[in-house]
Amino acid sequence: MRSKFASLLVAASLCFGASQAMAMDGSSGCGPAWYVFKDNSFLSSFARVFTNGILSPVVTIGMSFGTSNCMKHSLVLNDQGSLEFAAKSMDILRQDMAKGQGEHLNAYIASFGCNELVRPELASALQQAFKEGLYRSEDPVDYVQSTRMLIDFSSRRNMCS
Amino acid sequence: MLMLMRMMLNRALFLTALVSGILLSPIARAASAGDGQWLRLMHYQRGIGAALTSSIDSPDFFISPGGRSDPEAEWTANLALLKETSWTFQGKAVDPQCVFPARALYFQSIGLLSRDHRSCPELERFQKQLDLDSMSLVFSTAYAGNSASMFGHTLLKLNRKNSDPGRGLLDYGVAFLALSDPTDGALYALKGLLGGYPGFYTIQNYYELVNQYAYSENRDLWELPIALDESEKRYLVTHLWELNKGVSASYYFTHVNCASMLAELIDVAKPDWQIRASIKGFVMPSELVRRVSDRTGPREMGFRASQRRRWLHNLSRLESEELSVYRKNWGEQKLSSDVKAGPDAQVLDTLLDRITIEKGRLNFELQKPLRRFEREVLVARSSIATTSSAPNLRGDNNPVLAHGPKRVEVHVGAYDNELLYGLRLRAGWHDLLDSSEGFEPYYQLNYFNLTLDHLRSGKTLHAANFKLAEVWSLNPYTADEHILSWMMGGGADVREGQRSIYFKGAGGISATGGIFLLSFLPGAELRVNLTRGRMEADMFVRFQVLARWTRLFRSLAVVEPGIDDRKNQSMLLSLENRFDFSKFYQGVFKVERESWKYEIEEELKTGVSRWELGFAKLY
Repeated sequence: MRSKFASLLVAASLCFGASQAMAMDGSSGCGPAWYVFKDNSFLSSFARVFTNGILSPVVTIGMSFGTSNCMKHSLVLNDQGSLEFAAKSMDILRQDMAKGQGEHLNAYIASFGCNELVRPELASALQQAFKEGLYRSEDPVDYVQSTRMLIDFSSRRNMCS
Repeated sequence: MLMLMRMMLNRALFLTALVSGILLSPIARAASAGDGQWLRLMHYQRGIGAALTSSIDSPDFFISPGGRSDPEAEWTANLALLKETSWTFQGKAVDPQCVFPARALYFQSIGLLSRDHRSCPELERFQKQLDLDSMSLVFSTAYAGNSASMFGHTLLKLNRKNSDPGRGLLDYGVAFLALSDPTDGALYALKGLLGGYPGFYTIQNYYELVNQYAYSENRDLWELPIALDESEKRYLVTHLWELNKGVSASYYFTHVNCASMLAELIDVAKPDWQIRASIKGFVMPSELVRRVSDRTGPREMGFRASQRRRWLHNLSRLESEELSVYRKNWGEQKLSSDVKAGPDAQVLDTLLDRITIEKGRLNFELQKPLRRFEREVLVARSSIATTSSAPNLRGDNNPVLAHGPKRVEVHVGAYDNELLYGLRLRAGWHDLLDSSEGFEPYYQLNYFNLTLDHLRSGKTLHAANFKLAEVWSLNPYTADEHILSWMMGGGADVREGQRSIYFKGAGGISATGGIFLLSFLPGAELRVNLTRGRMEADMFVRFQVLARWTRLFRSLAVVEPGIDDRKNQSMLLSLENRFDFSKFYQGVFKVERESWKYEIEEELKTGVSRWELGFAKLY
């Protein structure tokens, strides 16, 4: 168990190096997701009652912008679903990572094709990586690349597609 | 030019269709006239005068020029078109069966179209992506602090095959949403009411919807599972494909809304259920959930707690020392050295919940200091290995358990020792004395509420009151959540022979203690006295105590001193008790004393007392 954990940490350190390099290649256009555009004033929320369920053009544009750059990133083409998830759920995902558990963290790991049995172990590894400073940025590309490497270096990678 | 070509093509198709229609067998033509599945696929609804018109108003959705209000012509035109192998749609040459696969499925099912395989790679990718196994009807409850959102919201969750519980967020969600214009300002509500916005079906990742409703808006989500057989799945997926091409319908808050359009969609998959036809008039989201639940039978509903509910749960679990630490750190928005030295997961998780709620109220710029604090908390939290599993929270706002919105009450009693009898009618929705099961416990929202009272000796009505709308929001003000209480309402009444139009508003605070909800609400009433032709203004201070003695029995006591613009003082004392015999029947007992003291004639005191005993039906 100890050696498995150590290998994950090695992977995490490797990922950290990679993510630092990535930060300079202009991929930081992945937006900080769903908190950016917000109008929660009393008036707007009251008025919303009369158009219950709103497709706000501002929010829609914000969300597209939030991931448009990420989608073009060649290194994460195979993990586009995970990238979109990370970009659009960043705030909740970071909290779950710091806690080492949570529905969003579980779904994020599942988005890499990892089955139920391996998810708790990977969740702990991601929490450890967060503690080490790996996931402190808010760039979803960093997240996905690091997680992919973490999985690939893990002895349980055969439990993920 | 393109438009002209398209019109000519449509006309040619229409003529072809007419000819094919004439040549069709009598059975086929009989099927075309009013076949249920055809009407559902085209979203035809009966309007005023019993004419059929489609809720959808995008021209691209119809083949026949008058197809939106002529099901027969549309049926014939579609059959002719679907026999073709090439057609120009939105500027591209396509196979018509690849554009309208659900319609093709329908014509195949009644034997009028060959089942020969057509290659539709984009459609196949879409089907593979959805990988549909079943669906869930999702109800989003009112959002925190705004009782006006009590109608809720509905969406559909498309559950994938082989989806374990941990993957639920990775399913897809379907909603019908109005595309609003943020620059509309005050017109916003009016346009929402009167069809001023186009509405679209959207297919999104389910986690985006959860993020928005449960995390950003603090609304609980209830998920009612609906099983689908293979044919139902095929119809649902192929029809979604047809709708996913920019198809729109003018949004009306009352009857072409998130709930009505989902009902139309569910009807395509579940033709026997006839959900849309079962809801007359105003289509409310919770009503849709109840109708679907009636048809699925008792089911365990999924529940996703809102961020606020999770925070309140975590807060309630803190020991007093932990609570002090939490409050100190939240107040300073900085982690204290003792927390850094010995972090406590419970305190940190509660702080993270609170930070998320606060971020939801702020725009990104204003979030920056909070985000710095959040980083500190996250770092501290990541050093604690998680041992406990996430709590399995349940809300008491399950829409399936809610009472019906309409209420009819008859009552008898006395008005200053004279026999009084009367009637109360309410079109909707819920008041504090109704059972709160299925609702938010601190909200009241009533509209079209009419009270008529008659005295035995009177030749005309003694009093009448028509409340157009009345909204109460009495969230408790606590040390950890500073929410103000408020109410507003308006209507018209006849009192003491005076006819008036009035508007009333109040703001204050509420507190809870066990079964009690106490509120203090200073407010004002503006009255246009039509009989005397003048404006009148009153100020009042309302103290009220709501007691929920048991699940079935509730009381509301009110003390309300007031003063009008001529310095006349008044005092209202009332006590109303309501008892549920069942989900549908209530008993009411109310006593009230209203008195006045006139400034000019200090000695003159006057007042009236009344009591009433009533029986009400909710439906």
